[in-house]
Amino acid sequence: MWYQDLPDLVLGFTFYYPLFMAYLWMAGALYYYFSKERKEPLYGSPPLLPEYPHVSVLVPCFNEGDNAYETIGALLKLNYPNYDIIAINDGSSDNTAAIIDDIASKHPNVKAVQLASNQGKAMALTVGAILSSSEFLVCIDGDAVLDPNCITWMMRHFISGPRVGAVTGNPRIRNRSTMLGKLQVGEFSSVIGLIKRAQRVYGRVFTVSGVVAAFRKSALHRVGYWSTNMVTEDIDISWKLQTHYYDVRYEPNALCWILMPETLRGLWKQRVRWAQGGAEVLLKFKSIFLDIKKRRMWPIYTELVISIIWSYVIGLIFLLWAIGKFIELPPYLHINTIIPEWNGVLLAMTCLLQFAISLFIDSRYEPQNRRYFYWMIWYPMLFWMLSAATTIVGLPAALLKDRNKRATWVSPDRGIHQKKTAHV
Amino acid sequence: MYNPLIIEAPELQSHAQRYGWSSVTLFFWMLYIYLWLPFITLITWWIGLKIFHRQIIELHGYEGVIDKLGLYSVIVIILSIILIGWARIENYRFKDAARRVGRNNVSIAEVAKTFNQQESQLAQLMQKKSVIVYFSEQGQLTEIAEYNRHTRQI
Repeated sequence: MWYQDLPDLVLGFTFYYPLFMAYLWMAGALYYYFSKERKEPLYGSPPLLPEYPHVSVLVPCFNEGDNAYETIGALLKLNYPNYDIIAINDGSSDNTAAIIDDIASKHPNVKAVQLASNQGKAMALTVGAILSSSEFLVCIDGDAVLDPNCITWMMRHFISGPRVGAVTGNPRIRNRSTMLGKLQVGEFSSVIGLIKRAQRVYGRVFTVSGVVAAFRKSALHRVGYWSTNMVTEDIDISWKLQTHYYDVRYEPNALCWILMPETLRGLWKQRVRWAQGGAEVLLKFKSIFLDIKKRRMWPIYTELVISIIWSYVIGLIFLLWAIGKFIELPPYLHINTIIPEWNGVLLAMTCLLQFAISLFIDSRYEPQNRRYFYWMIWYPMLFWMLSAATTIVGLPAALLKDRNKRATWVSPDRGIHQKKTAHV
Repeated sequence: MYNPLIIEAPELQSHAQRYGWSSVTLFFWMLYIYLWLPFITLITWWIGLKIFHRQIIELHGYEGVIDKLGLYSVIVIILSIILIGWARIENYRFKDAARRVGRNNVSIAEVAKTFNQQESQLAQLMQKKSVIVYFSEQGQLTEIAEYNRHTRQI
């Protein structure tokens, strides 16, 4: 009977799914690199544009007293001839309001916007868009440092055609004091960077990076700006734009230096929020299957569904495997070994190959990163385990949440160097 | 190449963090080496050539990996061809087309209407240096006004 093979099929799926996704990313990233990225000048020498339209840089700040001077200070030194900065204080309880007032009073191209109460990042960005006179908005987090040439790199996509609704940049991690920080440096280039490139080759991306993304205001207007009830406004806006037929581009030369959590608890909270955001989008956009014109989002949606199923299946397999060590389970529930024989070798080879490829592609941006890579060849395994665990927790959170509730959240820790002054 | 933006201060870690992360690294390296186990076994067999010959040649031990490698390569090649082929076809079909999106920039009047503001007032506020925005209990935008930072009370 066919169902006698079911355990084997399930085991096969759990094993092969991440493996072949990894190869798909690698193939896509290599194609992207050879067809586009390789021919570009380095990020420090952006191309000359036929025109430099006015751009507003929106910086929503919630309790960013520690970072606001540095973030906005970097924005004042951008190599772009035609821009202003709109710093939005999202009802902070620290000294953010005074800091952005101070900066605005000293610099003619900085505008201070105070939200009288905390409304969340989506509303802060929307207010920034309302108060900007530009058609192009570059949105960065209040703790991120933008590379001086970032805007030029992003703007060339918008100039290329009205179809481009958003451009996402290349986040680079600054804080590398702990192993967790170093791991994320590797993750952003070896997993996230490859995924973004591969998705761009396909033509649709799952999400822009909320920490550095540029938008066309008319596109935002058409889709109703950012949604205030979604836990990840960046995933949601990417879906809204793409289901309205806008293109979302990835620009690896648009660098943005960011701070990431360096404690397990901080990382866990952030990743569960990402997983929940993915699941929320899944529930919100299921109607895309009823519209043939939205067919290009179908594979991205399907992949997300498969990854959620995979997370639960692998969780179950681990559970059965662990229980099987203590209790005798019926044969069809008995998991003999998690990684079978030669498949293990191929999995290990895949990890190695994935890092080799990302090292090859990423060395354009940070050649010195290779020293981190030697210590984390095994990281893709942890990445899949972490995404399974966060998805298992994130999906029920998305299903059970109150849809009308305003989504506000506090950034997790930004590395151990800030611990002494960090806010609760 | 020194980058002043990079923060690398491992000395700030507590002992617990340091040893904790060393253990995690060790664990995953062990796990990673475990994955290579069949290969390592193979190498040790090869060192004892006679056993190697028996295991690999006589008992066809190499077939497992040849089979898997072949299957993997085929699947990886098919996946890559589908993705890249698709990309090239779509690129060719749509390279100059913007079929489904409008071409006009959004006007101040449209933005003002969406958020229930007066167009002229919004146009003025866009030029101001400091602006305060009020919301209702339900999170609806109620009022946008200019403020003077020296007299501001939030």
